[in-house]
Amino acid sequence: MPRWPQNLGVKRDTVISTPHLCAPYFREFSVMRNDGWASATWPLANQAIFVPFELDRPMRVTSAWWVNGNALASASADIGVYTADGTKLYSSGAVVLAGTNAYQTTGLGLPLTLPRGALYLALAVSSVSAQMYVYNPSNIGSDFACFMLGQASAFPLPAVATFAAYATQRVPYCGLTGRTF
Amino acid sequence: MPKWPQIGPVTPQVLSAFYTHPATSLCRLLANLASTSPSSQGWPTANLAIFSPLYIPEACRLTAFWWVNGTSVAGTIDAGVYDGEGHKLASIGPTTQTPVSAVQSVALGTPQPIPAGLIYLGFVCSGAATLWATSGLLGEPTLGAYQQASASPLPTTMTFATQVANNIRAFKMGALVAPRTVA
Repeated sequence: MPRWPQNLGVKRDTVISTPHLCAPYFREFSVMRNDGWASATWPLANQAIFVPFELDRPMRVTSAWWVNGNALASASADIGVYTADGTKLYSSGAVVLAGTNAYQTTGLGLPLTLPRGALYLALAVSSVSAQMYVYNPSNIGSDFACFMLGQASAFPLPAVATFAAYATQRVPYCGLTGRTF
Repeated sequence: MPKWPQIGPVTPQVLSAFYTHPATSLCRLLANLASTSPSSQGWPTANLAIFSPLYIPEACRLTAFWWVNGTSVAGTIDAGVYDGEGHKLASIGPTTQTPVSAVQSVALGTPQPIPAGLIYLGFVCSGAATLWATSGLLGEPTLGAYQQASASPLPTTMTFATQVANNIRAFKMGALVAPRTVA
């Protein structure tokens, strides 16, 4: 019998994904489940979207992913992660969208250990014609739900984000993981 | 070797009793909240303050307060933060509610340090304001919130009066944690 706790009392996530990053802000409400996710055009060419989340311990990640929609428009995506003060920890750089209605992954090259704390997952897309899978709240009752931030003209993702309010409030379906995906 | 814990709940960048974030929530909302989408609802009574409890896992600084205005606006809103004993730490002062159906945020002049532990976020509307909220609950003070009449602007010390049934609902309002300043 070990003398020390064998369970640290909090769950260890294996995949960082926007549905569960947003869940604390939708928890108890059915809007996200009912409205669902769908293919939709990106709000603005070169728009970056930042989704806040918290890590309760350091986490090693090795790849990033998102879900392409019905049309790719020869566009590219850039996915990354930022500290709470807007400093970029990682970004993939421009990755050409490939495969409609499909998950797309990109490896980090070297594994990255994210620090415990408040962070932002970032995704930018180069074309307004590109479609990505997003959750699109239907009214202000579910708008402003995930406390996302935005930055225009942010493709590729900048070294330091200039966080601004994000009115469109589309939640892109994307994330990071240290597991095979 | 870091000086701070490398495991444990993190204070989120946005505080709100509305969302029951697992790191800061002291109680789960009742089941009927799960079946209702938020809507524009009137503030229960002019000058009634509502104080909602939150648990802060790590010391932080508050930079601003925010709320989501409903389909009509009226009067002023004051927002503030209290310690667990009901002593006001900071407030923005009465602020004209504007515009309709939009997020409104007001920065604190100086970010307010907040200790770890129990705090209360206090809000008071001076008039017949509407804000986005859940539907009213059925008469149980299970949110752990309190109310105080004739409390605009927010008082230096809050009273711990039990909320009456029709006042128990979760309004869409909260605070921002440094370094975040944008609502």
